[in-house]
Amino acid sequence: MNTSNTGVTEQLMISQIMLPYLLPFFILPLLGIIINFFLPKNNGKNFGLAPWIIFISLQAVMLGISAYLHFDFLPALKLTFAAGFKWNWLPSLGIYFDVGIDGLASTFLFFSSLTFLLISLFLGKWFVQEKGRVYLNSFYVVILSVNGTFLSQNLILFYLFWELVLLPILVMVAVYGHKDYRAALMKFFIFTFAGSVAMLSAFIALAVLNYQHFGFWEFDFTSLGRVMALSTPTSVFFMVAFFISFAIKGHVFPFHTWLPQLYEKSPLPVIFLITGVLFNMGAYGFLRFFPNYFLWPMTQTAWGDFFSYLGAFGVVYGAWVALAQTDARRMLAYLSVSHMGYFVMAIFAKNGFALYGSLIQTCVHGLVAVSLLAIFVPLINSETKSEASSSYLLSQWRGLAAKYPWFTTFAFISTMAALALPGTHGFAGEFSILFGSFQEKVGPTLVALVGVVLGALVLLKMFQQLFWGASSEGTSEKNMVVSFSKRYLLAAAISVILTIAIGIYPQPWFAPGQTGLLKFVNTLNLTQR
Amino acid sequence: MFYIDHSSFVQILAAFLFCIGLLIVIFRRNLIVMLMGVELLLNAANLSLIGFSHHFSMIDGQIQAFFVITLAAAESAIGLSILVNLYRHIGSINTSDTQLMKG
Amino acid sequence: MDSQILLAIILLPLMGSFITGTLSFFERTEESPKAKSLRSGLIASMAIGLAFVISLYQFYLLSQTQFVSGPVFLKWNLGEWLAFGPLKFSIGLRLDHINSVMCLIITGVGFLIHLFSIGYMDHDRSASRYFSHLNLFCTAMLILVLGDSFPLIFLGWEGVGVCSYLLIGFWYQEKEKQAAALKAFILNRIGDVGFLIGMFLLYKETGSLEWGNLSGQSLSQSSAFWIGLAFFVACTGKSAQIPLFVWLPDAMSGPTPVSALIHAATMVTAGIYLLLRLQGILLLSPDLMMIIAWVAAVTSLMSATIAVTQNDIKKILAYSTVSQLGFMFVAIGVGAFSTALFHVTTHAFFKALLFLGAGSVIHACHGEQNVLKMGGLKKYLPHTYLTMLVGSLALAGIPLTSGFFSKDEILHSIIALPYGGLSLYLVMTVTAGLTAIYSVRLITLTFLGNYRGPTDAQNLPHESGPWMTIPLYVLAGLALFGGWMGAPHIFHLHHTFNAWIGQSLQILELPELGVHWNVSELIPMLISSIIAVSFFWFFAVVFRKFTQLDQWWKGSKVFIQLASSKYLVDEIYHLIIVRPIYMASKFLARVLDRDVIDRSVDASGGLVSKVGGRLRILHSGDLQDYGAMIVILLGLIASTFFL
Repeated sequence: MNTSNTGVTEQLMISQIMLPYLLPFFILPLLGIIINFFLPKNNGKNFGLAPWIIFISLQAVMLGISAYLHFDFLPALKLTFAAGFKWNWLPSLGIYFDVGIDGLASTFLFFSSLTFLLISLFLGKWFVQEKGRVYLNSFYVVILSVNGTFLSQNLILFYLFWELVLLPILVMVAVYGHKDYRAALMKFFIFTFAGSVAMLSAFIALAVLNYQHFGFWEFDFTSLGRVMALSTPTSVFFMVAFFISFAIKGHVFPFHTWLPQLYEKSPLPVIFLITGVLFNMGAYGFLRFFPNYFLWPMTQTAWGDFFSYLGAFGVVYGAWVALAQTDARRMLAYLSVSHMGYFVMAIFAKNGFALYGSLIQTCVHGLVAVSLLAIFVPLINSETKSEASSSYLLSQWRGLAAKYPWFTTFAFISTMAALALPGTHGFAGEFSILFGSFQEKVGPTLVALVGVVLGALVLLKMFQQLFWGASSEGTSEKNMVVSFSKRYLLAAAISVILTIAIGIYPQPWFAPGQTGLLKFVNTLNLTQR
Repeated sequence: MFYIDHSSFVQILAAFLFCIGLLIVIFRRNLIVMLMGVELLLNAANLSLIGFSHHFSMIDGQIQAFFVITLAAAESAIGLSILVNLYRHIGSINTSDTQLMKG
Repeated sequence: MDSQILLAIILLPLMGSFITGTLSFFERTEESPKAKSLRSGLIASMAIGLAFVISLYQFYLLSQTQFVSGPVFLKWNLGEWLAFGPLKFSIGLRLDHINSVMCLIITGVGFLIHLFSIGYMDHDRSASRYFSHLNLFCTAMLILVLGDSFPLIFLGWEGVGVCSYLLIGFWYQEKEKQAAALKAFILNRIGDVGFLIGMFLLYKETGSLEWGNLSGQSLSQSSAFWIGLAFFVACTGKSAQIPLFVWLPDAMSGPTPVSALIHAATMVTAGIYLLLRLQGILLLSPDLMMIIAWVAAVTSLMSATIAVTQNDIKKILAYSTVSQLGFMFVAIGVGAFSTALFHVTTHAFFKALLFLGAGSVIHACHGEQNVLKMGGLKKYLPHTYLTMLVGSLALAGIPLTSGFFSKDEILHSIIALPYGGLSLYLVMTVTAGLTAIYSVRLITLTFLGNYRGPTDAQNLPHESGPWMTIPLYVLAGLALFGGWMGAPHIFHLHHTFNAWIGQSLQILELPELGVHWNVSELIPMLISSIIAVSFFWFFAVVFRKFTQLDQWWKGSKVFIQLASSKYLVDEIYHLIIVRPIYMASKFLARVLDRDVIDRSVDASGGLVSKVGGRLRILHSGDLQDYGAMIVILLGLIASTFFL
């Protein structure tokens, strides 16, 4: 990916065109926070519906723009480089506010906007309760940092947004978490931070190498592809540094241990965020940096086999450990670890179709995990003070199918999507990954296929525990009264429709994301079967 | 090469005095004695300066020594006032009683 | 084009499922179950019935289509599913002679079963949900047979697995039914892994996933072997052969019409269909054919012995199904692909009949399923008796029934085709004998003799209504006369079945010896006729007096005990596979995850704390210690200038 085939004036024109499309992703969340300051506080009766409605509308605007960019604008332009705008920040050091979008980023942006909207619809109760303003503001910051991560084209800017997302999580868990949140939160923060430091050191090393070769400081993504004359020892350093940082953020085995502990101690919105969107930042990092000139040759070596097996073992490990869990949150944490294993296996599979599948799988996983988690939303008392401390033990619910048929259908479809049933969106990604990876590396694929069976076992046991049986077998009095708001039913319906629509015809949703991958695959003569 | 001639005796003496002063500052607990040790350090340095001034037949060392004497006087005035203030706070001039920053 | 109606075959039951499903959400609980069952059942039956009509029309269209050269089929392309670079997956439907037959079976027998269910579910308050699941199952099965590429077959394959899970666990309040459903799904999933591996290997070796392109492939013998083996593993899961068959007997927890449709007529035959599509590849590897034949033969014999000892009317039929499926796979293993499909068809007729009849009996006896508590039902349930007798005769292979023609053709193929052999023939003949034994045992213990059940007026059995008996008669007619379409040459009749199927399938030539009387055909036919008729007659008398085989033949007590406890396969699997998995998961969660990985993460933080703790000693708070440190350090720095 280089910018040499377009002239300077053309680039200026493109940056002027892109400005109104890309700037809203930064301005709108900030606008939301400012508006929140000026709206009257709600105490008691007058629950804050207005801030929530503004929240939803701003998200809908961002979703609309990202959909337009993803489906119409970018395919029409047929660009293979990122189009955007660039403002000065510290030009002598090569640090700019450089924002741009290409096929890969637009896919991630679109799906994360979609997932955010879905999360906001499912969790409406949390936002309109007393002091729900904290959640709203934190969500705005998260949206801002996620958008920034996907859109930034400058490494330091990328790092800024990458770190920024930790703050709102800190706030939400500290204010509304379980009473023993400190250890888990500290572990999450420091673990993720350590990974980011590894990433920052790799960035700076890259810039230093660039300075040594070319004599000026540069932190631009694509230009650093020039730094190709690397000897093997330095390449190993970069690969390990990038792998560790993205693996920690994207909860890949064996760097996943912060996840179950954090889930146990956080309120539900945080769990939704991490499981729906935040791991996508790690996935984006993988897809942006690894299939790139300076790291790809490393994947062809024995390191590639090692990481492939690591991913495959992660699949089996995540599903197997999930089997032993009694707490719903921990079980879903390990299932997420399992799904990320597929992703890692695909990245190192040396196969173009598997790469494409990894893109599909990671975008879809957010939706899948959100619908699985949403099963627990009506079952949990959402009082903001005590929600994280309430029990999520699976054994307290039983026999819900007899009373709540709609709910059961939604839960069953969500479970089937997590199982990767053909016809649901979960299948599109997993199948492509397994298919592509088998063509090149048979061993890891066979290991991952074991995980397919185990994952089915875990999910069906969960479904049966909650919904089948007689309701008198449950241990919770809350078993008897489960209520659903219209907003929840709407969100559930949207989720089901998405599941089936993306499952039956995934190609139109992901085709724009192909352009960058295809060009890369063609240049490096990657196997496309 | 190093000659041990008359000029070096002064330096050796100055070094000895410097070491004594250093050891006093490090090992004695009484603050007044420590201040005396500091005076000894400064005077040893003075002696060394004068010795070198004589050895190289340059006046610079002696001029420097004047500066040092002045500074030593100022410093001991400030040091003693700090000591009086400290005594007013903790009632003792033993340095073992000033370990509030431990750990 | 006319072939766009192919999509309608799939969409009709899908719509039916959707409508009845929505009905089940909105129904009121005060409504009588009978009305609910009638309403949903009629909608579902109409959907399937229309699909049947369209299948007939497609069948007719296909028979009219003539091509100058190349295979005959109707095709419809639905678009692109996923594509990256040159690799494209597309969705399309394709009808040729094989799946036209399958379509007719699925929609036709399915229609009859839907009608039966209207009567069967008339006292169940969740009847609408039942019909919704049943229609959804038919949709998935039709996708399986009509899809033009293996990914689409896989879609239907997993789809029927899911619907089977929902229907087996239909009465989900009871623990054992939940366990049975889970078992079925997981064992099928293991088979699905085999399917995936086979599909991936197929693409790797041939570069194409459409079954229409498979005939002219040149593959090495070993790659054909592995591809076929992987797909065969999938078949052992779906079609209940060794080692993955153990879900089928447990699947009897579901409503009986479900067992008739899914576990007799359609889903379990999906494995056969799959292997039919892979004919080109299977024929390249004689080793694989032998493995298939022998695995199926052992399964068949083993489950026939178990069927002889069972006392639950549905379990007898379940093990019988496993055994008959073994017959079909043996047919494939010896190369008689069209015969396997023929047996699928006749088996669909008589096994569905038997299951529905059993359902009628259970319905009449108010839920009683143990044959030891039945008996003498001939006078209470005359229609059921008559139709079930026909079914049993077909199952046992009494001459001139449909089962006779298909089973006999299989036995003949074992001897006549080069892939078969005499030992295989002997095994299958013994199995055929056992088939006669358990089928006559079923009839005798249920309908003949003295009535052993409750005699109070409330619990006296009563014949079922017309919704249930009319489909029974239709199926009985098919079971009795349906075999003539595959009549062997010896009767100088045209083998219409082979003539139809042969247009899409390669039929291996049976060596012809002699002109008028085909001796190689006659002898096995005579042998199996004699065995079937004599066993049927003889054991009818035996089972009038005794209820279990070991009461008549004293020497077989140990063997019967072993067989009746199904050779302890479930217990063995539980011990070797299930328990270790759960134990390992606890081990991984506690020891590996918590104690090893997590502790090492904590330890790295702890390491930092410890080092800091040691460094703390330097901060004594003592002024002079700090002074000493400064002096030492300065001295060190100064000394470097002299080095």
